[in-house]
Order: sequence, then C-alpha cells, then structure tokens
Amino acid sequence: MPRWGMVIDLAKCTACQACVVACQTENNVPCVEPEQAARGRRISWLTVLPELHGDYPRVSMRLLPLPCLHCDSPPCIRVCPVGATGITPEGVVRQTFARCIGCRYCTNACPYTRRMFNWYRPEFPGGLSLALNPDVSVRPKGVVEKCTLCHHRLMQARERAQAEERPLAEGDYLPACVEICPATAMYFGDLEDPDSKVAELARSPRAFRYLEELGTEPKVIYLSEGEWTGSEEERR
Amino acid sequence: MKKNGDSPHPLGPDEVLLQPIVATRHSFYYLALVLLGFTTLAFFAWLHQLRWGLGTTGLNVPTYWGMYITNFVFFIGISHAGTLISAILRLCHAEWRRSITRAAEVITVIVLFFGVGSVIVDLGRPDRILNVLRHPNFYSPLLWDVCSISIYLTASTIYLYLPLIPDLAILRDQAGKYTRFYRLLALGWQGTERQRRWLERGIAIMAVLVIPIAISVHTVVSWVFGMTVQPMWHSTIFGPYFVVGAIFSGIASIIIAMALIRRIYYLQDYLKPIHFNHLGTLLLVFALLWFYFTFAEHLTTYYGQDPTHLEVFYSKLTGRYAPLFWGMVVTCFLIPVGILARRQTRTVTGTVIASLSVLVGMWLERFVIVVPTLAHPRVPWDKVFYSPTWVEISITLGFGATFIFLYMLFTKFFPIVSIWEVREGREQALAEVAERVKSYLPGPEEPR
Amino acid sequence: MSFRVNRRDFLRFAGGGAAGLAASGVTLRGLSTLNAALAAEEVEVPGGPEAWRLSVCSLCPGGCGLRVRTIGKRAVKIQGNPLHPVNRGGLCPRGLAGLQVLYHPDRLRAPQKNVGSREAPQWQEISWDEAIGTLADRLAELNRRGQAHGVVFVGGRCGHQRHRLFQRFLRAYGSPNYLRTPSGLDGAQAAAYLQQGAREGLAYDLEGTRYLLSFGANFLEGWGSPVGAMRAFGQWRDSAAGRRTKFVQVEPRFSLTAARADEWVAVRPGTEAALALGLAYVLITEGLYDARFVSERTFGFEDWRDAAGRTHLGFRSLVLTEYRLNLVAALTQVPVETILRLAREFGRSRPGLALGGHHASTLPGDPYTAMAVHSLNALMGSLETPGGVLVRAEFEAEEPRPSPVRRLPPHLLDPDDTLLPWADLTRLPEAILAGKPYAVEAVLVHGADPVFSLPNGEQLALALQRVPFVVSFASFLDETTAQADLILPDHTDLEKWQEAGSPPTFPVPLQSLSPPVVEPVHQTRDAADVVLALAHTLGGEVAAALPQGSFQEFVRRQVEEIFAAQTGYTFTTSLEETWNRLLERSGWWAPTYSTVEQLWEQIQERGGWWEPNYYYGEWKRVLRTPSRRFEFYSQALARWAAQHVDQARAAGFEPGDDHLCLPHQPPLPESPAEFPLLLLPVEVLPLAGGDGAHLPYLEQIAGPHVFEQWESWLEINPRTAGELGLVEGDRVWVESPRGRAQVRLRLYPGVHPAVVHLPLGYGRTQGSRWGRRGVNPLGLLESQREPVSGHLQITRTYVRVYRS
Ligand SMILES: Nc1nc2c(c(=O)[nH]1)N[C@H]1C(S)=C(S)[C@@H](COP(=O)(O)OP(=O)(O)OC[C@H]3O[C@@H](n4cnc5c(=O)[nH]c(N)nc54)[C@H](O)[C@@H]3O)O[C@H]1N2
Ligand SMILES: Nc1nc2c(c(=O)[nH]1)N[C@H]1C(S)=C(S)[C@@H](COP(=O)(O)OP(=O)(O)OC[C@H]3O[C@@H](n4cnc5c(=O)[nH]c(N)nc54)[C@H](O)[C@@H]3O)O[C@H]1N2
Ligand code: SF4
Ligand code: SF4
Ligand code: SF4
Ligand code: SF4
Ligand code: SF4
Ligand SMILES: [Mo]
Repeated sequence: MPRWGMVIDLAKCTACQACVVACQTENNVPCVEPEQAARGRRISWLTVLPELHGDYPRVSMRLLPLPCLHCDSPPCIRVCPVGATGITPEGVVRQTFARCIGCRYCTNACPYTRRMFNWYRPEFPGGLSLALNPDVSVRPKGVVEKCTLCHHRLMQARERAQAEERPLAEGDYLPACVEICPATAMYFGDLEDPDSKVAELARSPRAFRYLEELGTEPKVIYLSEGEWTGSEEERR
Repeated sequence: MKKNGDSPHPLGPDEVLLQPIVATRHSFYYLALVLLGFTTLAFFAWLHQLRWGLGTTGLNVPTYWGMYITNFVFFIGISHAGTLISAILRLCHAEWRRSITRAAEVITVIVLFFGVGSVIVDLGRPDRILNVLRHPNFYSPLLWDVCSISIYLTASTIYLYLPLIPDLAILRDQAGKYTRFYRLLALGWQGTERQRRWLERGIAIMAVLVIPIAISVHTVVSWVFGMTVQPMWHSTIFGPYFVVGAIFSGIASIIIAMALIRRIYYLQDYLKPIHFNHLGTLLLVFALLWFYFTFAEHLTTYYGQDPTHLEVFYSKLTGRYAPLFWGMVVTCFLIPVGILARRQTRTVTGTVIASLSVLVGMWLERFVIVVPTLAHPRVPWDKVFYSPTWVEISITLGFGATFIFLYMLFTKFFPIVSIWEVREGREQALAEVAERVKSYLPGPEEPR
Repeated sequence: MSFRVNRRDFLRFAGGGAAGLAASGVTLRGLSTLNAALAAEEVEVPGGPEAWRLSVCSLCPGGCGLRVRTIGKRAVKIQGNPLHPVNRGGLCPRGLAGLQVLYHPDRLRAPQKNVGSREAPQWQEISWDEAIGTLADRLAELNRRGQAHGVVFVGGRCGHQRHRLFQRFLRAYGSPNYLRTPSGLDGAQAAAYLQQGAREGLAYDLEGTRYLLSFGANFLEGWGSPVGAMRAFGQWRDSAAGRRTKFVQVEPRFSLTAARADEWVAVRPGTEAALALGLAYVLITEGLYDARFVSERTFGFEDWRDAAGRTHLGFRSLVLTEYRLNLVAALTQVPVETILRLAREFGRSRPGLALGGHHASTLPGDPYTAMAVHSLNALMGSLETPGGVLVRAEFEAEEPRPSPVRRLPPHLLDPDDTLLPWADLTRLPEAILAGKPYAVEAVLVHGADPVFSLPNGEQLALALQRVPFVVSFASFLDETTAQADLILPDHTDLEKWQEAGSPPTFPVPLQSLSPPVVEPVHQTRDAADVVLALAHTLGGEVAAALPQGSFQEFVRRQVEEIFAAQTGYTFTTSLEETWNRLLERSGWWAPTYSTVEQLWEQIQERGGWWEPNYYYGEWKRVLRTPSRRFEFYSQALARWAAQHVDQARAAGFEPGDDHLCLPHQPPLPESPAEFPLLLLPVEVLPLAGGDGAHLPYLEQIAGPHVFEQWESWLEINPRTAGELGLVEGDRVWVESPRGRAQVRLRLYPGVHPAVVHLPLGYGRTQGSRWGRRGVNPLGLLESQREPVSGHLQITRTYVRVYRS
C-alpha cells in the first residue's frame, strides 16, 4: 500500500504561486468577491505564506507553499464530531463534504490553518462555471473543504491502471500543483517505497517537516533553502 | 399534605408564593412582548443566516469561531448556577438554600437550551445535525460535549422536577387553572411517608450525581479548546478554570434572578438580605479563585516565552484585545471584590451590581479565550480582525431575551420558591439543625 | 456574490420559511426541512467526452506551450505542454488564469460602434459585415486622399506571425507606421545595440550560467520569458545537479526575486551603474577579468587614439580613476567589503552573467546603466559562450511574394532622429498633437492598451481625441478601447489559431503553432482574419500581398518555409532533444518528417518546431559595430552625439566628451523638501506587464509578501511609517506634484527607508467588474525623457504620504 507524500524544495521554489492557481482551477475552488476577500474569506487549498525576518537592509523571507500537509497524526481528524474527515489507508486526509456539519472545529484544530470554510454558496459569475472540472464536486455553502491531494486524479489513475491490468505506478498520478510547478520544486510519490524520488529526498539532510515539534507528522516534507558553497575555483 | 386542606388560606403565609401563578399583571405582558420582539428579531436573523450562509456573520479565516461559541461557553457556564450550586448547598445542608434552589435550578434547565442553541446556530449545515447521532466520532471533544450536555440536561431536569412534585400537587389541589396539567405532572403525589422517603432519597441521589456531571460538562467544554494544540488553548488547567468561571457566572446569575423575583413578586420575606450576603460571600470566593486561575494561566504562558503563545498573550494584554482583556479584569475581579469584600456593601444592591459586573466580565472572558487564539494562528497570516455583525448580535440578544421570557413563563406556571421545602424548613429544620450542631460539638455521644 | 434578493429568491425564501416553519415545530427534522428549503440549489457540472488539445499562451511575451483539457465543448483546465522547450510542462499563474479570460463575464461580445462622443461614448452593437465595411471604407477613403501613411497600427501582445501579417498589411496599404509597446527589456536591448550593434533578440543562457548578477531584472516575477527563467532557477538549485549557481539580486527593494536570491544587495535607487563599474574596478585591479577576450574581441578598453590622432578615454582608465571603491560605496550605500567579495566571486565563477538595465519596473532605464552592466559581461568574456549572453539566431524566412512594392514615406516617429533604431511608442502622442511630420488619420490598436500602460497614457488619450478614426481589436473594453470609434473584438487565445515565435531572451529559432481549442464563446473574430478580410475588401495591392483566405493559411505558409529551410525539429522530449543535438553536432539532421504535410501535422500534435542548437562564435552575426568588436566605447553613440549637440549637453557632457560614449553613472536627482519620498512603481508577477487585474485568480495572489489582494497597496519601510505616525493598514494619500491617490498602507521591511512602492497593473477605470480597483501609479509618476535614448523614465518622482 503506497503512502502518498510530497516534497517541496524551498531552494527551487520561486514563490510564483502557479501551484496555487493550478489547485484552484483543478478543484473548482471559487474565487470569492473582493469585499469578501477583504474580510478574510478567501478560499485557497494551497497558499504561499511569507515568513519575514529582519530589518532593512538585512531582510530575509521564507516563502512556503503550504497545501494540507496530510499529517499522519492529524489533529483535524480527531476533533470532527461526525467523522466527516478521515485518513485513507494510503495516508490521504480526506474530507466528506456531504457529511460535514460545518462546525469548523477541524479548522480550528489544524495548526496550519489549512482548512477552508464555504461562507456562502460558491459563485461562478457569467460563463466562469463553464470552466468547472466535472471530476470534482462543487462544495455547497456551509461545509469545510481542503486539499484532497487531488484524490479524483488518484481514482482516475487507478481506474486506468486497472483497465490496463497493471499495478498503479508512481508517475501515474500527480496532483495538479506538482504537475504545474515551473521550477519543478515539487515532487510527489510513494514515501513507503524507499527507491522513490520523494523517499530519497525525504532522507536528505535538508529535509524538515513544518512545525514538526507539534507531532503532526506531515507527509508534505520541505527541503530547506540551502546555501551557495562558493565558486568551483575557490573550492578547488 | 392534607393538613391544611380545608383552611381558607391553606398555605398560610406561603400563599404569596402562588400569587405569580394566580394573577398576572399587565406589566408582564408588556415585558413579554418586548422580549418576544427580540426573539423574533433573532429568528429573522437566523433565517437570514440560513438563507445566505455563515458569511452573514463577521467570522473569517482564521477566526472561525466568534460570538456564537462565546455564547455557548457563557450559557453553559451560567447553567452551573442552578443544579450544581443547589446540589452542593443541599448536600451541605445549608439551610438558607431552601428558598433559592428552585430559582437556581430553573436557570440551569432553561439556559442549557441556549447553550446548545448557540452551537446549532453556529453550524454551517444545521440541517445535518443528526449526523452527530448517525456518524458519531467519539474521539471528538465536541461529541463528549454532546453526551455530557445531554446527560446534564436530563439530570438537571429530573433534579428540577423531583423537588417540584410536592408543589405541583399543591397546585393541583388549589383547583385553579390547568388542574389537569398539574395532575399529570404531580404523578399522584399524596405526601405519604413512603412517597416522601422516596422523594428525599431521589433528590439526594440526584444531588450527588449532578455534581460530577456538572463539573464534567464544563470541563468538557473547556476541553473543546484544550484538546487542540493551539496557542493559549492547549492548557491543562482549562478544566478547573472553566468550572470555576462557570460557577462564578452561575452564582452571579442566581443573585440577579433572585433580586428580580424578590422585587417583582414581593418575596422579600423569602429572599432576604442574608441570602444575598451568603451568595455574595460565595461570589467573592469565586472571584478570588477566578483571579488565581487567570493569573496562573497567564503567568505560565508569559514565563514559557513560546513566541506563538506570546503573540496571543500580547494581543490580549497590550494589543487589539487589550480593552476587552482589561475590561474583563475590572469586571470580573476589581469591581466584585471591591464590593463584596466589605460587609457594608454586600447588600442586595451591592451583590446585584457585583453580579452584573461578573456576568459582563465572564462573557468577555469567554470571548477573550475564543477569539485571540484563532486570530493569531501559528502560520503567518494577515490580520483581519473579527467583529460580529448584526446577525450575531441579534441572535445573541434574542437568546438572552428568550431566556428571560421562558424564565418568566416558568414563574407563571410553577412556584419559583419551593413551597414545601420552605415549609419543611420552617417546621422541621430548626430541630434538625439543633441536632446537627449538637453533633459537631464535644459532649456525650448520643446513640443514633 | 450577489446579495440583492431578487423576487425568485424572495419567494423561495418566504415559501421555504413558511413551509419549514409549518413542518417543523422546532423539531430537528423540521429544522432540516427548513434549511433544505432555504439552501440554494447545488451547482451541477455537466460532463462530456474528454479531450486534450494543445495551444500557446499569449498572456505575456513568454510564449509557453499549453495543454488544454476539454470536456465536451468546454475548456476546463490549462496545463503546460510538457514537450514545449520554453516551459516543459510548467506554467506561471497567469497562463493558468487563461480560463478566466476565455469565460470572463465582461468580455466584449460583438462588434460595436461609438454613436456617442469620444468623451461620453455610447456603444451600439453592429454586425461584422458592417464593422469591416466601415473600416474598409474609411481606409479606402484615406488611400484615395493619399493619406494612407497617416494610419498607425499599434501592435501589442500577439504571436510572431500576427505581427508579420499586420505589418505586411500596413506596408501594402501604404503606411510605415507599425508601432509596438515598449518593454522592460528595451534597456538591455539598447546596450546590446550600442555595444554590439545587435538590433534584435538579446538572449541569455540562464541554465548554463554559474553566477548571475541581476541589476533589478526581476526575473522570477515576470522577465523575458518568465517560465523559462523559473525553469532555469529550478535547475540551478536542483540537488541532483550537484552544484549550485549563485544568484545575486541588486535592487533597492526586497522583491520576491530578491527574496529567492542567494544574496540581495540593497543598492541605493538609481546607482546601479556605479555599482557595476565598482565591480569592474575590482575585476580589473585584481586581474580577474578575461584578458584574452578583452584584447581580442573588444574595443575601447584601453585608452586609444582615433584616426585624427586624438586620444580617447578607455574603459580601464575611466573605471580606475572614477570608480574607486570608497566613492562607489558612498554613492551606492553598498559596503566596500561587499563589492570586493561580489567581484571576486563573480570573477572566479565562470561562466557568469550580468543582467540589467531596467532602472525601474518594466520601462527601459537609462542606456548607461545598461551599458555598465553589459560591460561586466564583456569583461568576463561571457559573450557567445555557454552560460553567457547570446544574440538570438532568427529564423528569417524570405518575404513572401509578391512583396509590397509601394514606396513608403518616412516613419511618423522618424527613428533617424533618435539614437536607437526602433520607434518609441511613447512619442506617438506628441506626434499626433503636433501633426508633424504629417497628420495621423487613423489609429488601430491590437493586443495593447497604451492609454493605460504608457507613462504618458493620459497624453495619449488626449491625443487620440484629435485622431479622426480610432479602431480597437481588444477583447475587453480597456482604457484605449474606450477612446475608440469602432471595436472589432478579437478572439481570446483558446478560440483561435495560436502561434508564437521565440520568446524574449530565448536564444534559438522557435515556432509554436496550434489550432483553436474551443469554439468562440461570443461573436468575436480573430483580428488576423479580420485584417485578411479587410485586405480582400480593399483589393489591389493589399489583396495581392495577402491572398490567404484565413490566418490558418497564413501560418501554413510559415510551415512551408520551415520545411523548405530543411532544419530544426518538431518538439520532442528532452531526452530526444539531447540526442538530436548530439547528432546535429556531428553533422547529422534526422527530422521526424519528410513532407510538408507531416511537418504540419506534427507541429500541431507536438505544439511546434524549433532549432535546438545554438551555434556559438558567429562573431559576424553578433558583433556588428563599426569595430566589429564589443565596444566599451560606443561608436554609435559617438556618431549620434556629434550630431545631437543639445541632447548631449542635456545628458551633462559637452559634445566630444568621451563620457558620452562610455558607461557611467548618470547624475542623481535631488529630492525636493516638500516631497521627501521616492515613488518607484513595481511589477508583481500576477499583474506583470500591465494586464491581469480583471482576473480573480490573479487578483487573489497579487501581493503574497504583504498579504494583499484585490487592491493597490503602498509599500513603506516600517521605520519610515513610524516617523510619519502611520500604521499597517492605514488608508493614506500618496501625493506627487502630479496628483494624489488613496491607497492602503502596508509595512514591509524590504523597502528602502527613503522610498515607497506602488504596484503597477491597478487602477483601470474601464472594462471589467474586477479590474476597476486600486490606483494606476502612472497617474502619479512624472516621466522625463532620458536625453540620450529618448526613453521615458518614471523613476524620478518624489511624493509625500499622509493619513487620509
Ligand atoms: N506572467 C507574466 N510575466 C511577464 C509579463 C506578463 O504580462 N505576465 N510581462 C512581460 C513583460 S511585457 C515584461 S516587460 C517583463 C517585465 O519584467 P522586468 O523587466 O523584469 O520588470 P519588473 O518585473 O518590473 O522588474 C523591475 C525590478 O526593478 C526593481 N527596481 C526598481 N527601481 C530600481 C532601481 O532604481 N534600481 C534597480 N536595480 N532596480 C530597481 C524593482 O524593484 C523591480 O524588482 O515581464 C514579462 N513577464
Ligand atoms: N500600468 C502599467 N503600465 C505598464 C506596465 C504595467 O505593468 N502597468 N508595464 C509596462 C510594460 S513592461 C509593458 S510591456 C507595457 C505593456 O502594455 P500593453 O502592451 O498595453 O499591455 P497590457 O496593458 O497588458 O494590455 C494588453 C491588452 O490587450 C488586450 N488583450 C488581452 N488578450 C487579448 C487578446 O487575446 N486579443 C486582443 N486583441 N487583445 C487582448 C487586453 O484588453 C489588454 O488590455 O506596459 C507598460 N506599462
Ligand atoms: S509553483 Fe512551484 S515554484 Fe511556484 S510557488 Fe508553487 S512550488 Fe513554488
Ligand atoms: S495540515 Fe491540517 S488539515 Fe491537513 S492533515 Fe494536518 S492538521 Fe489536518
Ligand atoms: S467542520 Fe465538518 S469536517 Fe470539520 S469538524 Fe466539523 S463536521 Fe467535521
Ligand atoms: S494536491 Fe491537489 S488539492 Fe492538494 S494543493 Fe495540490 S492541487 Fe490542491
Ligand atoms: S509566462 Fe507568459 S506565456 Fe508563460 S504561462 Fe505565464 S503568461 Fe503565459
Ligand atoms: Mo513589458
């Protein structure tokens, strides 16, 4: 049984946010109106968050593309009174939109603020609804939604593999954000398979898990920025 | 209880306790109208919210909880007024309790509905509430809440109902209005020795049962927050802290309820300054306890210097929420202690002022616990501050008003001071107390 | 989200409420009936057969290949074409937002004519026949009156072939006045022209470089070909590669690019030239430069003597005497140690690359800064090497026959008068208003919004009111279109044949080409088809020059030309690419096609054709200066300065002063006392290039570093704000001598304490419901013509900021 995981190399990430928009278009995440956005109601399953330090001219900023981290020990799941969110055997933290009662306990329990609520019925004004992806249901108002690791893509990949009578291979299934990243800063695959690229990267000394001190055991693993180590001439 | 059966004033001086049931003044209707006006407003606000969604509130990401959850904690806190305090007093044989237990217990039962109601209005999908029964997840503190509150509501209702039975029989026998209703409820109470023994045993058992239940309720409410890892929620003392706060606000609400009943229904003889004095002392004790917990909670946070916690901490002490935080300190501590510490000011008026202050303060406390933590998540986030909208304010006002209305309504159907207990006190307690006091003192042990 | 309760809503509301109440009591079941009645119906998403089609993004000049998923007739997802050599499957967020362009609720839906006045336009929908007829009549009329040359065509963002088509049309019709919008790369391009004689296609081998010094080239936020740049960045830092390219960003603001750099050098605004020359000082004094390259391939490094025997200042003397480190450090606010360290690192890491020449956002900076930066490349021998600066080898097809034979009058903006051999659109308003050298009779605009995006857009708007006939081919009612008499709305990308040539900074010939992905959503037409139809209506020479019935036929010609040239490959995987390169180096060419038809098919299957090899060392092609060398001392400038004495004096030097021809630090302006802060506009990736504010996907992600979205914001240093008594989130006035605007304040420690920044792209007043937000900084900025290049500069505006 694979355990799907993601590695994001912060050294390579340009903070372009293509992944953010890719997720939105793939998963029918509505764009809320500006007035609502100003009130903090933007819905975004993946957000690039800035951590800023220092004063001019010694400023540094880490820009962190943050999807749901699909924690192996997810605080969000435990608190849901109706089991509307859970973890699949493959480690995907899923959300059952049809069962969620909208109590927003999980949103408050997630230390990463990775769960979003539908404050209103989603709107796709004009022709924008024509661009909706038929593989992903549009969430009604009043429920919580979050990154599903593009679960519908997994299902499709599995169907395809079954039709071709072969086991699901690693590259068969890529989430939309990983697929689009122009700097190829995102990797995706089976953490369980020691030979996979993600497993290899996860063992790198640069690897860390965000807020790992909380014991959430995320399956989205970051590689820290790293440093330039000097010109070749100097090193010689 | 046929003793006074044929007397023209069968209840003697206690007749006054039935007055509110027998006669209703115009002012009652006016007040009811005003209160129901608020109820309607709340209902309209709720419909509006149902139609458009929770976007009509001031909530946002990451402040997912606000006024409704504050109200929830607050109302559940108030509910400790009745059952818990009355049970403790009963178990301690505090004789002065006799005229106040009923007024207190009613608060519990009614206010619990508003606690639960607050959660329901807070749901994004109230239509799916039955999922809580259909797909319960017992890991969730919210489900623990569902359980403990249901049990508490049941226990409190029984605990309210049991001591009500003899009075219901009185009402049945009065041959006034709604006799059939009272007959049904009185369950054939005749006041026989056997019935009295059963009743007393029942009350005693419930009193014992209800205390851990009540404590569990508010502990569990606190755990809704404490079980998360969020800064300044994840605290081990939240259980006792919330219970203390709950009893604190509970006492305050009893005091206010008593003062009103006493004024409106001319029950000065039953609810005397001494009652207020005693409850005032109790309130003082809890003010000190509350301060102790608050202090301990904030000192440990400060001392720990965990930056994520400190951010919340400073937002309370010096930041955006400072006015609310310091308002809370003033209203929960300075004002009540100032008034209650001195005997001269521990009067009816004094305790009422202190209590009002405490109620305001405890609401603020709940708010200051719920909101600042959410507004300062661990991950970097824009500062979009929460402030409630008309929808939330209307629903909150409506809840308050409806609660008062239902309480008033109760007084119109049931004696708000327990007739039989008062009478029993008058008839038997003196002897009992003398007996008891004697047993405390050194002297020859009497065979029991 | 609309909160107006319409009647239907109200009835449902009332009905649902009543029904619910009746059903409920307040039981739980009743509650759910109630809510179900009140809840709005859920969104149904229709299905259909799935298909994937290729296309090309033209939302910026980047030229990325797209792969579009369609369900039935709907386009539901844009992804990158993994075979496309520019982007290899990646995309920037703007490209992804293309679906919102296609299905935007506020698109222009049909041709319109203005039946009101220019000041208060009133739009009336007309048929395509009428629209094309009106335009044809007008052009025919002008031609008859001998005023054909008075027609100006402003071309903006569109593929290579469309530019060709429009240009050909215009020439055949009789006007030389084809103009393009300026770009941020113009600065570097100017340096390449002055020092290398290269007129077009400056390119960089970003992937191959080991050390990148960027002087304000904001290349992770929209520079050149944005995805191309981001891909290179990813490769520099790929742990599998084993080594890491160092990337140093020199700019006053801690932009997202600076944040992602290995090192950010917070230079005082406007002093990049001094810093570049300070670095040159170290390279020269420490002997770190490529002496061989300098002696063999450059001109003007040492002092030299001209034919008349006059001794001229050389680059070495200039740098050694005038750019000593203590002076440079004082001027640039960059410590001496930093300059020393950077120069040594740069000198020792080869190949290294210096980019720059924007003085400011997007608009070309002064040419001297660009020359100073480019001189670093020459010092390091980074011209024509892997990892260095290249000049794109264009695929130059022969002009198709019959070529337009008309003799054209001189260009309206007569480039002979200016240093640079390309026309500068910002001069158009003056030319129109002056009516010189001849009157402008009609302006046609396609793919550009100059009224919004030119620094002197306001002036252009005024000037357009004097033009008798203005036609726009826009897809949205943008600022320029609002000045038009006639709108012929264009298809958007996914509705038309899409093509693109090599994007900016891309070194080799490339042609992307894809058929339409979806049917047109509205009654729009491809502007190229419209121009072809126009040509046929006009008849005569014009029709003969453009005999093709459709744009598809026109691009088919290009494919035939490619086939005839017998070179290059259709797009392949990177593996095959490596193989092809290898073969080609050993003199083989093994194309996957053998007929034009096959090439045509394959191009559409794979997204395009390109020539994967760059042939280094074609010195004749890349060095076309009088000396046939790289010129530290620009002889083109010398020639020009001799003829333009006044402009030379305006630049601060007497004619004949060698400084005029050498890179140097231009003088810095003083800040006036009443306006203490310098206002510099910035571009953010989602809105880079001016367009994008009408797309919610992009608005939402506009300012992640300050959590801003949907609004203009003023970036200010927290200390500066503190001194002004301002706090985060305040609404403030920014006031310049030109006017003032209200914006939200965002404290950002990455801002120079004497500077404030406003993002470009906001402040439209027309068009879309979402675009009309925030302020356009160009309305506040004072633009001056840089005396030598004549480019408009917008980096010298001082403002004051106060609470509103
Ligand atoms: N996605 C997307 N990408 C695009 C476009 C698009 O539309 N969409 N448009 C393309 C186009 S048309 C262009 S022209 C390019 C523009 O891209 P660039 O030409 O790179 O222009 P800017 O991004 O504005 O970068 C200018 C940088 O210079 C800095 N700067 C400002 N003043 C100074 C100064 O005095 N000194 C120095 N050293 N730096 C300074 C600013 O802080 C800013 O970071 O982007 C292209 N990329
Ligand atoms: N305010 C502001 N001004 C700027 C800049 C800025 O960022 N902000 N950037 C500067 C730079 S670098 C540049 S290159 C120039 C760019 O300036 P312009 O070349 O004028 O580019 P945009 O402002 O992006 O305007 C492009 C217009 O094309 C239209 N359009 C979009 N898609 C299509 C299509 O498919 N077909 C047709 N026919 N039209 C379409 C849109 O209506 C849009 O208004 O502006 C410069 N000036
Ligand atoms: S798409 Fe890639 S480079 Fe861009 S923000 Fe996301 S992870 Fe970073
Ligand atoms: S990141 Fe948050 S939502 Fe995702 S699994 Fe972890 S706790 Fe749950
Ligand atoms: S909001 Fe939905 S998913 Fe989250 S805890 Fe409540 S019911 Fe569960
Ligand atoms: S994995 Fe899929 S759902 Fe999750 S952030 Fe990426 S695109 Fe969105
Ligand atoms: S870089 Fe330019 S061409 Fe490429 S996807 Fe972005 S907007 Fe389109
Ligand atoms: Mo540009």
